[in-house]
Formats: sequence, C-alpha cells, structure tokens
Amino acid sequence: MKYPYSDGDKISEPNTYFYTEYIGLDFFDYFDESRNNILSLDNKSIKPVISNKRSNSLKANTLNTIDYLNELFSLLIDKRGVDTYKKVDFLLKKFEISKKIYNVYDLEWRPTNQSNAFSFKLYIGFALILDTSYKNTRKLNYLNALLKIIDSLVSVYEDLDILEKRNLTWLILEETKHINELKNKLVVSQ
Amino acid sequence: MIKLKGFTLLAAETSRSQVYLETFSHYGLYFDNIILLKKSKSSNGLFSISSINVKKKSPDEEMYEPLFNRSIDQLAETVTDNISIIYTESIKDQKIVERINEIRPKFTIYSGFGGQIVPKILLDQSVFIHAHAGWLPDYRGSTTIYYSLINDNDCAVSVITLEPNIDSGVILSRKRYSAPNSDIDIDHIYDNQIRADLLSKTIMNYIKNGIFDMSISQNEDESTTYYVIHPMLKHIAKISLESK
Repeated sequence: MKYPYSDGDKISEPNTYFYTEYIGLDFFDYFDESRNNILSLDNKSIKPVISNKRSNSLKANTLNTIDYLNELFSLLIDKRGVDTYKKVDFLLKKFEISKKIYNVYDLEWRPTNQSNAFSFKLYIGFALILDTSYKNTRKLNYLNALLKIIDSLVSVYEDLDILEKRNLTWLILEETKHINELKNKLVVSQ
Repeated sequence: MIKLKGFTLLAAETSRSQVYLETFSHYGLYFDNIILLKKSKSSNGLFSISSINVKKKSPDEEMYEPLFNRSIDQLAETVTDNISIIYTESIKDQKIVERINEIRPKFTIYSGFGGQIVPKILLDQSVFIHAHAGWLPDYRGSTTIYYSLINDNDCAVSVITLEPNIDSGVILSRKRYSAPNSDIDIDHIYDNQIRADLLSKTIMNYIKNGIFDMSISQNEDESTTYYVIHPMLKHIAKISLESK
C-alpha cells in the first residue's frame, strides 16, 4: 500500500476525506514516503511570497483572491488586526466546503467562473496563510487544511513551475515540523 | 417499556442508526413512529458490519455496548409498532416531508445519512433533535471527536435542536466522556455509542421531568468550526490513545 491522498489530480478532483481508513503506525511511513519523494526531487526550499501588487479587477463588484490573501498575510504579520482570524476562517470555510480556491469571487463570495480555479499560486499563498495562522494560534483546523492543500499540491507536482516547486518544498518542511511537534506533545512514537 | 408520546425516530441504514436502535431497545424506549430510510429496495435491512472492527470494552462501565447481532429492521420492531420505510438517498426527498406532515411529531430524533443538511421545510414541521459528538459551542462541525481527543484528551456529546445553521441549535444536554480504549473503532462504534448514551438519557429525563436538562442558546463568538479531519491528524489522535 502507499499513501493514496495525493494520487491523481487532487486540485481538479479533490479528496473528500470522509471516513478515511485507519491503518495504524504504517500510515506514518506511507505519508513520509510520499512527502520525501517530493523533497528528494529538488532540495532547494523557498518561502512563498504573496505578491503585494494589486491586481486589476476585470469587472466591478468582483474580488480577486490574491488581493484578499495579500491583505490577510499583512494582517497576520502585523498581529494587530481586529478580526484577522475571522477573515482567515471565512476563506478556510470556502476551501473546506469546495476544496477549491477560485481566482475571482463576486461580492457574495460565489466564484465568477468555476473554470478559473487552478492558479497554483493561490493554493500556495493560502497554505502560507494557514501555516502562519497555525504557528500563531496552534488551532488544529489550520493545520488540518494545510495538510489537505499540500496533498493537492503534491498531486500536481509535475505541473508546478520551478518556484512553485521550491515553495512546496518549504511548505512540506514546515508541515513536517508541525506534525513532529504534535506527535512529541502527544507521545506518539513512529 | 418507556412510551415516548409525540416522538418519532428518523433513522437510516447506517452504523449510527444501528447503535442508536440497539441502545434505545436496551433502555426500553418505545417511539410513536419510526421512519427508516433505505438506499435501495434490494436491501434486506441487515446493515453490513462485517467490515467493522467490533472491539468493545468502552472505558465507561455504565454505558451500553452495542452487540451488532440484529439487523436494523429487527431492532426497529423492538422500539415501535409503526415503521415507515422510504427508499431514498436524500433527506430532501419529498416522501419524507409528506410522511412527517402526516405524523406531525412533536419531536423527531434525527439519525439520517451522514453529511446531509436537514431542509428547513422539515425543521418547520417538528422539533428535530440531534446528538453531536463534541462539546458545544466549543466544537462545531465534523469529526470533532478526534479534535477533542488531541486537544483535551477526552470526548463529549451535546444533544441539540437542529437549526438551519450547522450545530447552532439550543443545547438540551451535554456530557463529557472518557477517551476510548485504543482498540475501539471510533468512527462506527465509540462515536455512535456515546451519542446514543446521552440521547437515551436525555429522552428518559425529559419523559420523567417534562422538561429537558437544560436549554442553552449558543453564542456564535464562542464557537470554533472544524472540518473533516485529515487522516494524519486522525492517526495521531488514535495512536496517542495507546500511550495513555
């Protein structure tokens, strides 16, 4: 058996994660093997940067997700924003329900075009938001979504450009730290 | 036998309904009606438990432990003399609305198919009561039993009224439960077992006292919503039980 949650294109056809099978300690080996395969392909790690160049909305009354991610990241770094995590949680809910992140939403947060979901930079940017949120709060719902996004990005590794691949390497290294800390805290042996 | 006047059970062919029915039967709870949802007419009413790891021995000596030795059909006959079977995969099916409209139950104990939201048209016809495996308002959403195990090293159940927004209803009772032993199947047994336990006791207390144990409205700001747990966190939660 191998780790099944990054097989196929999980951005186009996301996992549901309903009633996932429990297989005991072997699961950790399969998970590590899947992630280590990616780390072995390129050992360079680059922390993602969310572009702070505001995009030009093509239409009035639309919201560009990259602008929203940029605003969120600034608020997280600043640590003074009121309701910052409510804004993170809002996007988290959108992601968890559809397992997709769209480039453009209308003012009711409906995707303006369902076919425009596949900008990997959005997934990487949101993964950075989740990583930062988890480090700041230790709330498991952020780590949970980070694991799911990394599953999806690993599944499309061959389609990422070189910078995106190195961003993914950075995210996997962060994820590994979080998982190991949690295992140590709960005395889970490998 | 405890006659539950005004109570209907809306069940489905799931492990949760199996455990609920066994537990209700054990306590002698007797419903006015049961609406049983089945996905296909070829079903023989025997929920397949062959793939479920039926290991028992819950840490709570007083809690009923399901045996999984009777089919849902057989169990339903022990807790009512009015069974309606509806073939459907969706809680939004018009046949369910029509049947609830015929019965007009005061309370409907809800145990339908997982992951479906009960439509407002049903909620308007009866008070739907649901057992959620998490301490509300702290743990809203899905698979909260695992998040609770990681964060608090225990589990909890909240019995609530169903409202259009998920897990936002009035809290009728709450109880904390010990973490399960490491060899229990959490998804199909322990999660359902603790829900059935508090649900049974809540209903029995209502029949005895004429009111529910509590009636607490939830404050939106106090809640955290969780989503389906990733298998890595699920494995950490379950394997951590072995070290405790």
